Amino acid sequence: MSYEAVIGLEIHVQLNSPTKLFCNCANAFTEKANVHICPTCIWLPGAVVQLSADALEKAALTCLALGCDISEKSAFDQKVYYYPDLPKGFQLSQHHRPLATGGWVDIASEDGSKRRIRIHHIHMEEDVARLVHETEGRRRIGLVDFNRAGAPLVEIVTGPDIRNGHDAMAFLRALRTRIRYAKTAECSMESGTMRCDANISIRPAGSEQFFSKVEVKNMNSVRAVGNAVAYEISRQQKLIESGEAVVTHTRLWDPDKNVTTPMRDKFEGPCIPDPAVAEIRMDEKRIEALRKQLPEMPSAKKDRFVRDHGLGGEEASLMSAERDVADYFEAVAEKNVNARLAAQWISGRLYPFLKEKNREIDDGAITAEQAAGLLGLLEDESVNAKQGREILALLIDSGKSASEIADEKGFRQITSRDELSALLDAVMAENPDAVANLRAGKKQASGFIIGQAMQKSGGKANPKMLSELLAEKNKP
Amino acid sequence: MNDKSDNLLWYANPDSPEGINAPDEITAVLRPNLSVAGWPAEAGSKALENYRPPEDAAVVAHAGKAGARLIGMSRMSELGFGITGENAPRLLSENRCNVFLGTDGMGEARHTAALAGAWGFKPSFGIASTTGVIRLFSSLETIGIVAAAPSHLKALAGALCRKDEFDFSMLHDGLPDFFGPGKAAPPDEVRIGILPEQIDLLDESDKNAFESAVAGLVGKGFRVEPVSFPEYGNFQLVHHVMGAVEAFSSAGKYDGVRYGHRAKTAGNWNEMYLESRREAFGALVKSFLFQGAWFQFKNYPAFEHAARLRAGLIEQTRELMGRVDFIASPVRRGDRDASAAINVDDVYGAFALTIPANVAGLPSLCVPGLVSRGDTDLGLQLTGGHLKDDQLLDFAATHLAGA
Ligand SMILES: [Zn+2]
Repeated sequence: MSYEAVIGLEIHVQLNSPTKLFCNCANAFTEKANVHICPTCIWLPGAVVQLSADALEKAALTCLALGCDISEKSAFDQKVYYYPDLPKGFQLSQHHRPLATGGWVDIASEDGSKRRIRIHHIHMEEDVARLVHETEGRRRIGLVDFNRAGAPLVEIVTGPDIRNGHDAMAFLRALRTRIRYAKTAECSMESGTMRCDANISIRPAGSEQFFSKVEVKNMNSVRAVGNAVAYEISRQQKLIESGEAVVTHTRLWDPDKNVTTPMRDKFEGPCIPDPAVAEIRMDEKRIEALRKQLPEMPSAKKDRFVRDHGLGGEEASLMSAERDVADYFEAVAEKNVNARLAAQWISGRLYPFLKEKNREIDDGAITAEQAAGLLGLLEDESVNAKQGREILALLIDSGKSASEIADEKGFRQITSRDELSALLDAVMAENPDAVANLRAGKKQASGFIIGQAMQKSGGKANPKMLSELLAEKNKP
Repeated sequence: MNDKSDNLLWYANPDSPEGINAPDEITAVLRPNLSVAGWPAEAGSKALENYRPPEDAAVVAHAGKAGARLIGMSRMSELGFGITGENAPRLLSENRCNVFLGTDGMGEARHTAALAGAWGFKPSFGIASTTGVIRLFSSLETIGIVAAAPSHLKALAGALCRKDEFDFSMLHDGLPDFFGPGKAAPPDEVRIGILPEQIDLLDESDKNAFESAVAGLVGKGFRVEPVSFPEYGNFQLVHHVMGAVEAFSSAGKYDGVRYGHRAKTAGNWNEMYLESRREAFGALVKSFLFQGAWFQFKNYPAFEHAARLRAGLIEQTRELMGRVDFIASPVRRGDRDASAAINVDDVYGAFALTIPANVAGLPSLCVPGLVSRGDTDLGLQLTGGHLKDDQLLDFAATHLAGA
């Protein structure tokens, strides 16, 4: 019998709001423990909560970026569980009435076909504290760091539409691209601003019945999610094939051993509405205003780059994958340079160079103006590709134009016909044999003469123009 | 804690001796659900045992700035549900202090005042900060001020009812002006309403006591008239359902780990948490919390229905307060002693007359010495229009003080 896997993901994304969800403490990572805390986020008696307007706005923008419908009314519940990372005994989370429902992300599945992954709902919640396990002498102790407690999160819950590790990874990457476009979150699994749990079950192919599902946690990269999903599918399949039952439980991914291992469940109570936290109301006007803030999404941008700038599909994908790169590309392309050349240089040279220097494409290290200047020199062949790369390296933080640098370095090619003609005449006079060979129709002679002319010019002559001029001079 | 018979304070301020130094000085005792940095704030519950807040409640800081000398804290009912077992009335009537600061979620401050023969005030909801106030009822409870002298009451009302950017429930517009010129209208322009449905709750002796008080008011020249409020019974229903749910929600966070009672159990954490909560709460509060849990877990639509009923009550009250300036009634019923209530029904029975102001968020005042049943002062309750706290206090201080 063949099986297919049914996978749903639950993704926690930490919004990049300046403050926590219910207090004014900084929503920022800090090495030192318990710095960003107040009575509200360490949940002392008498503390009051105040929902951050910025976090609500960013959560709503995230929902809109994923095509969700924002609920007119949503509310927070107390998600009751007892664990040291949550000393008040409940986490404020939107369980019964989430902020948004619906939505989807399209991905390319393994065989290249388009696959739509539905989003069931998105809700807001506060993060819990971080537990640090240490030893004090021989005693094992658990420490609690509240810097993260109360950080604003959205949880994105997908429909059961993912079938394998490839889909899961493609979904996470597409999701990340869209959210980064909305500029509401960093979405880095490595730094923990995006976390993903996977619910995995398998069933006989084509059947509507499921075997029990298993939740897998603790993947800290997109690749780890792909690996964990693939591992878990094969583990469950082997169990069923050997006649054993899959039981519902939670497992942890072990990235060193590449296996999942069962985890002890913590007590989880019910979710009950919290009457002390004000209900959220979002009217159509407010939602429309937010929608206007949303930039063109990557897939639309990609299509437009192909249509308006004449990019190839792959080039357009590269230029639209990150919003800052896309904005940069457009700023350069608007300055009357060849868009395809711009795309090639941005993805192949400029972006990797800035990354290597630990700089951002939009931080002004190399402005769009400067890049367009360099591309202009390349396009009219004032400089060659090798010189172009050298200029690029010198442009960073220079405040100079590419043309100024080309002049300073003496890079500029000789493109004056008179100058080139005189150069050829001199070379031809010095090499009568080669001229004779050329006139006898020997192709190599042409290459030799041009090579000599290039050498004589110190590499600055424009080889294409030399070749044209030489042909003219020797027309029968 | 220091519990000597000559020392009624549950906690005595080590830096400020007991006793009223001068009649003008505000010598205040706090209910221990108001946070004072470094003082215990157990709110009468084992669940908050040894909890010492790191910061003052905003209202405590304001009281200090207004010159109040804080001498300590009183005994309080568990989590401030009613005033069962409280000794603030005795502290006031024995002149150990002349001001008591606490909370009022169903009439606690007004009852304390009536029992002590003092003035008690609950402001409009949303004009005094609740940060650092360990409340049981998030939408029903405000601070409460009890004072022997109306001048102290007014001074503290003005000092304590001011904005706090950290309390999201605070209102911003149309706030009362406690420091402006007096707003007491001449008697013949003052309309006082009496709700027959409320007075029907009184027994004969209470009714007689109240009727003679009303006769006194008429004698002073006020226009006193009955105004019907057919849905009066819903005030208690709404308070009971919403209050129990809010209480359960508030008490949900006390788990005995960082502070409070922690059970000694050999079991795992989960058992420790459950056992700690089982041991921490007393019988009265526990039965109330169970009622709230039932609505929250099993019948939340009932809570939502209560919230809708409440919106209707607020609307009707607003309409009523367009026709009269104040509503008068006794604060307490002579045959029910709130400080001796031992079950939830007792508590609601005792607070039946004071609950409407909490449900509707209105300012409400206990004036001493005007409604007497034999030797017992029932307290005259005057409830004013929303955010007309200043009018209410000015009226009472001008026309009813020194009675
Ligand atoms: Zn905080």
